Amino acid sequence: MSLDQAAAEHVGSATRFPSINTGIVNGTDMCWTRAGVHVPPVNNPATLFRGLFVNSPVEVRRIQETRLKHRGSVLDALRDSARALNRTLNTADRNKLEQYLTSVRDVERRLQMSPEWLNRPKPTPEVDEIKDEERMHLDEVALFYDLMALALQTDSTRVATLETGMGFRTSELNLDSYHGISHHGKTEGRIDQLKVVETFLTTKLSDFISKLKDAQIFDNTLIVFGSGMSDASSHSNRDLPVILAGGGWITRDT
Amino acid sequence: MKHILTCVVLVLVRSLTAIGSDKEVSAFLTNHCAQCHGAKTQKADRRFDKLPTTIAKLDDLERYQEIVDQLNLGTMPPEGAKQPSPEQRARVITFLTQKLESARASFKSPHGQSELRRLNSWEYRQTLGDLLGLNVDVWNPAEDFPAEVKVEGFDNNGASLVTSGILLQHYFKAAEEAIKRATHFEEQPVSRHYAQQTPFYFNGKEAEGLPKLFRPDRFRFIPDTPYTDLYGRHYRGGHLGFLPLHQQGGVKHSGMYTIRVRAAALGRTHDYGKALDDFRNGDPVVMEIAAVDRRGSVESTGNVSSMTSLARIELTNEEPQWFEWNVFLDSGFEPEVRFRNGPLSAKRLVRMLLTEASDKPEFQPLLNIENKTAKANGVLKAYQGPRLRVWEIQVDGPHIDNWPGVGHQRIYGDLRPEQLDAATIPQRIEAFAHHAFRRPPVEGELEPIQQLIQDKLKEGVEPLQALQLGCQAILCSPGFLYLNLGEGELSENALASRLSYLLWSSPPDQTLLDLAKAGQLKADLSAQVTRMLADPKSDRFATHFIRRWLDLDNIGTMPPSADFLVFYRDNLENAMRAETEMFFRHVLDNNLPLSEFLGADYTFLNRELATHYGIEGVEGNQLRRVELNNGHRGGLLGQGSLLTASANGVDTSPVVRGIYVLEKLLGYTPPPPPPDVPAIEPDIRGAVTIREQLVKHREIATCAECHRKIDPLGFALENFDAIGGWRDAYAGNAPIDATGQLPGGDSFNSLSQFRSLMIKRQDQFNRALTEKLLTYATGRELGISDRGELDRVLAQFEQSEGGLKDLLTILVESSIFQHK
Repeated sequence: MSLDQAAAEHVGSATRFPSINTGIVNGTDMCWTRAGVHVPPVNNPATLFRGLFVNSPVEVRRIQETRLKHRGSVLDALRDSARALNRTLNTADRNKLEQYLTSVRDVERRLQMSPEWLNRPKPTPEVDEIKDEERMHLDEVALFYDLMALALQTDSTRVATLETGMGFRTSELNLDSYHGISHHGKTEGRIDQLKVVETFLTTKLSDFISKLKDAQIFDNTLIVFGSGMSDASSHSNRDLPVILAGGGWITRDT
Repeated sequence: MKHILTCVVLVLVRSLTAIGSDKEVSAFLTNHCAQCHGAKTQKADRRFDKLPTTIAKLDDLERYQEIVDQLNLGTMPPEGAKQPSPEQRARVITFLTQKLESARASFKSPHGQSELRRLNSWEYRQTLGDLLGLNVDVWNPAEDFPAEVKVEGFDNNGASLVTSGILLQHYFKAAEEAIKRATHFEEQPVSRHYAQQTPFYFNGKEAEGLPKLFRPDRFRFIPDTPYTDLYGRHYRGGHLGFLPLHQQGGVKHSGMYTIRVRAAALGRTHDYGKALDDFRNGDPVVMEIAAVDRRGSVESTGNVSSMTSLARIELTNEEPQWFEWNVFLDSGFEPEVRFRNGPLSAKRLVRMLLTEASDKPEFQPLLNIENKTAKANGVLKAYQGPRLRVWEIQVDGPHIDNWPGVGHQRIYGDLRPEQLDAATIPQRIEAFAHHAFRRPPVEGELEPIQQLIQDKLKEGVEPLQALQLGCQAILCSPGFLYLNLGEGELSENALASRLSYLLWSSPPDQTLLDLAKAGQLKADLSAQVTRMLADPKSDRFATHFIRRWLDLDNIGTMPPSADFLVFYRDNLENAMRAETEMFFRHVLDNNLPLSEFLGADYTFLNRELATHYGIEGVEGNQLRRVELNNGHRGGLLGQGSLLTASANGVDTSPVVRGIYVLEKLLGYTPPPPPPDVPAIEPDIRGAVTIREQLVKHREIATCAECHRKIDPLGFALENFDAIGGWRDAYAGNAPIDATGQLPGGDSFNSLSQFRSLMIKRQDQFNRALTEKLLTYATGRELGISDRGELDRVLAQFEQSEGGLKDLLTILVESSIFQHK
């Protein structure tokens, strides 16, 4: 289970989205639920924008409402069907089927929340709509940070993540492939290139922090920034680089 | 005196019968093992000084088994340590083997048990496809499902497969879509003919509303010739759309279509030198037919939101020729023609020509043109290098021979929507559940779903929608999602499911179910294996088993760096996977001995892969059998898929490759490194080679123990780069040193010598492959309690002197396969 999903369990139920998970291309496989299921990132800023701020037309909402209602009845039937099957199983297999019943309950819980959110209007952000078009990854990183800030600001969610992994197109910074240079093998040329990528990523983080400060939510937000490896060349995960920011830590400690 | 004499005689008798004793074993362990696995040190977490003489626990059974295995392999005691005499070793082995056998017999359960498991994403996809007659190669209902947990590379481990709310929501969506796709109350669509001749680009009013791909720009122009030339791999100037189908939003009906293209290859041999460094001079022109979906696409990527490659063919002739394929097009998709191995992009090509080949006479009149479009168009028109020339594209279809299709029949029978009501629907549900559950429903399993439908009808829901909701519920119910194999020895019905999921990754067909119902499947297994392997569905076994066994998904998760231009331009990933699949199928279909996997002196290549391997004389895009004779390739160890999957896409590591070969081919998983050793830091500056670094690593005693088993296997393969190409030196010019010594003492000076040593370990390979096959077949890890039956299976196989197909038959007849 990953940190964001653990946090979402505590603070996620109050908002439209328990968590928002974004990333460039396929991200880094960072987010996992308690049950051990991978949560893939949203990789298109336009999709995220629509989800956060664009209300569906009424007729679409009506169709969704009907679907939700039917789904509730189907879940009831599935639970009863599973229980009938359960009676024919041994203990080990019953435990296995229990996972299915837990999943049914899980979906039911979400369903109960859904109709309410379906008809409650989404907040209107003070930015232009983000259109569906092809973008540089460099711009996507900036847009995702902006959208995360807006999502937190409008209380659409209280947990947000961004993953930049091997799919990040470093050619946009006039560099060789990210994966290629990460196996730097101590050559200076590659290490210099890595510095360019890392400078870019930390600059964007810094912009994000400024945004949260402007919105006056920085002190109420905890930011964790880091990498799953300290040195990708030796695949070492010792002495991981981690930045912890926000949360009013300093005042609380002193 | 008399006393002493008796003792001497007794010892003599012992050694003659060559059977050890508990006492001798205990002395043996103290003398040869306890130094590393005793009270003071416990290397690899193994301690033998306290092993009880009587085997009462599974843990003890496992320890003793390990000891016997290590002694058999000759890997312990390690080289340099005091060695037992061969007789002593043999006596201990014989004694312990018998002891293990009787211990196993005394344990209650003869072997391990699998758990109730759900279908994994792969099986779900095939099952839904077969059940509803849908083409799931094109539409993957499980595309967005969360990735499965893998155990030892296998993704069907019942104990580890997770079911979650997230997954259940995906099941709902997939089931709804599948039912929609299978439903065909409309008239059977008639086959139509569509054609488009040059030009393929349009201007003015004609072009209104068309995606960029259909409009001219700097790298696409409307030609005044009866053909259109394609210049690069990128869509600008490299892809051709097909307007007749685009105008109607792609094909209206999923099905088989005939696609014809009249085309030729121009300028394959050129003298543009460096300007065309991304095209291999003299290569054929590779034409690709792709199916693309332009709905919801982003404009600037050539308006494609998803695509599938349908076919590729190599063109060498300058005269136009018709090429034809029968391919499946999913509704909403339309064909596109592409120059698959062209220079990277027409844009780059123009730039390169104007910088690196500006002295060519054909470009002289263009050098001073200001207008960028006119200049780029002019350069492309004057250019004499490799081009794919297309005259005309035609599409015919859909060709449908079964309407409304299997899925529609299974859901609705022969009923029309107006014939559906509270009386007819329950019969349909009953029949559908029978197919979906692969068995009759248990008591109370189907009733809640029938009740759901009646409730919905009373609420006023349309009968058609109520039936569809019921079918959706069935496809999300545990009866469909879980492989329920009952208890203990498999029933005939459960056996049918296990067999069909092994060989077809999908439910048993009517023949299997009928045999099971008559109680005759168990007696007919060998014939059924033969019949099932002859069915094209068995390709799923070959494809998916290899993918799991050899971890071929590594290639996708750590894709080769863009520096490996040939990997992408020449479509090597597909060819590599196909090579190993064809090789596996060849061994299987011809029932060849397993020694082919290590020693075969042939493989299956197309031109592109053969060129990658440095083999000349292979032409065309189809893979075919090629004899090998240069000592570099042969068996799995020379195949690109294995060599790429065991690297990281950028460089190779002997440690990673070594572990890979140990795990996949020799069935041994080394323990993880202790937490306190420094990592190996790759250094490619040229001063220190990886070998020198590893020598240093092995100076640390805790590292040496495992690395002496791991590293040599990796070093032997260092002549292969990260995508399996041959190399004699590293990038920094340090020569490759592929020598080494295997644990047990055999040393090798070259790859081919190493291969010979691997061939000597054929038994170990056979055991490893058998274990992998059984793991895949049963959906669980094999344990120590399976060892007896596994040994018996291997002995029976060895005695049969048979091939891979015989092994499969023996496996499905084994007690491990036939028990839950």
